[in-house]
Amino acid sequence: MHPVVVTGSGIICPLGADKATTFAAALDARSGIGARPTDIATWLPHVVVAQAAVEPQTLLERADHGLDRATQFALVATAQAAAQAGFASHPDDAHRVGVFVGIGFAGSQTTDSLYARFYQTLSDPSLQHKDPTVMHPLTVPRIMANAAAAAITMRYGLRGPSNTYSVACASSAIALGEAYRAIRHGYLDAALVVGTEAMLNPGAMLGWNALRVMAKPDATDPSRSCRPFSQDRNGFVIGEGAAALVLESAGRSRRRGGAVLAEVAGYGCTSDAAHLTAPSVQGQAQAMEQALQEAGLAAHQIQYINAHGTATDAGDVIETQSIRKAFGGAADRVAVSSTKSMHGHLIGAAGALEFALSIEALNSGSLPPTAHLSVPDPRCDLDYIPLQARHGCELDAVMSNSFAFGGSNVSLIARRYASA
Amino acid sequence: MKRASNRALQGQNFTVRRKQPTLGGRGWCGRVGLRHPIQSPPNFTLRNSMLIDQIKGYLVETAGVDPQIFDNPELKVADLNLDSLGLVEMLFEIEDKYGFQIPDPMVFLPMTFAEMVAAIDAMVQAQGKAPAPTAA
Repeated sequence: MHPVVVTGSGIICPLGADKATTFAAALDARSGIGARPTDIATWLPHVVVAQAAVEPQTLLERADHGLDRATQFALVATAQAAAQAGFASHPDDAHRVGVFVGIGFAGSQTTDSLYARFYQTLSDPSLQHKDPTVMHPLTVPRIMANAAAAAITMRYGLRGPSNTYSVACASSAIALGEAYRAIRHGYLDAALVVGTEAMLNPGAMLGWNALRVMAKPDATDPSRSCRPFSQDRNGFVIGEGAAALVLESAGRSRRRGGAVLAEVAGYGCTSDAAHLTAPSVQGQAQAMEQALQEAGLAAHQIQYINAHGTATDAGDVIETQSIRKAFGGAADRVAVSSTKSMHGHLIGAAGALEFALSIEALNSGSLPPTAHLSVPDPRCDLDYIPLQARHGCELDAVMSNSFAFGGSNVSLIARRYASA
Repeated sequence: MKRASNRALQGQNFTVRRKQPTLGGRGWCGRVGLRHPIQSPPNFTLRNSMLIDQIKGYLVETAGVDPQIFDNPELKVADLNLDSLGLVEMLFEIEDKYGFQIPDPMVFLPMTFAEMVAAIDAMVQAQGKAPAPTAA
């Protein structure tokens, strides 16, 4: 078994266009939720979203402007992670370096544009001289779910496997876990792992609206609309963006002489085999137990959990029960927060974003709060770090949970790296 | 709002061009630096030079082609060093503007750049006479 370490990470999300800004905003309990694109507001005036803090295109070369928005986010986050790690492109061991991407809705923006263009050309009298079937020739390679993975392998000259995991809200948590295993078991020496999502377009949001899981806008302050574990919570807010992490074997990292952010210590992954959208205590608790077992840690050795915490009625209660089941008596001593209260639910990017934030917490000793948690639901009775960040904490190991529609449950553990 | 209302269309690199030139005496078009009101019937020479500007503009600004090579009147399409995907991307600039799909991009490969533009011009001309498909 090869120890696996994180040597760099990068973030673009509703809280900021880089990791430092994002983590600082999370510690300040600032919310990135609010403004909507006008094409969504027109049809869904009651929907709030969490748009990325910066348009990704403004951070990329012109040649990247045609890429799907999700691929653009992925490239921005990956560049930050690679820079922090000092990860050179076209490395000598390129065939030993993989790319693992998690994404839920693939090239959602391009798909939406395809239909919008077709029907607009068809229905607009001023466009009647045009054939509505004429589409951009790169429509398919922009939509394909592995578009981001392909772009990253080409940009960084990486020749190991480039795998894309589409497991709804757990997509990039699974990408992290599978990359970790590939390195741990010796198939690879390093991997770029990315979670990305860009689905704030009318078509996708019409679908989410029909599912009735999205938060209603807060009457006085829309940025407070997502309230995990709160008595008056009423759903989640879809966000967009990406997070990237550089994973390496401890040996490769040592040979390069780079700094280490944390060790990836455990990964648990289960399926409920029960309900399309309803969560299950058994499946979630087993994922956490697997991760603890792999890390060789007892529950009381985890000091912080970044919860899945979507702010749905069922989700938050079940996760509370799952943590109690997996952690036993240690559940009352572990600090837990849902940063989705601030950055929204980034679906395919959520796992990577929240794992990256958890590692920032591990290294800084500062725990981001669950924002807007003034009146806790009595059924959500753990230490959910309400309203304000907690500083000066002694942390050895942190956990990040991601639970997906379809019944997939993932738990990841990072701990301080003690070099041998 | 951080984005324009037509952002859904931007993923297609689809610029809304309704208010921009249409041929046939209904708008403005012209060479760089000139603006001519066009009288019907469509002016072949003007459209030819407009096609050249449009294709060159795309190749230089987006595909990174050296603008100097267009000084050579014998420039071949093959000299543009576009692969098949690059070729259809270039042609989409025309397809998007004139609203029809060019049937076989590969026919342009053996041509000079000038011959390709003339062939496209003829297609645009023919297209103007054919009705666009509509919903049944």
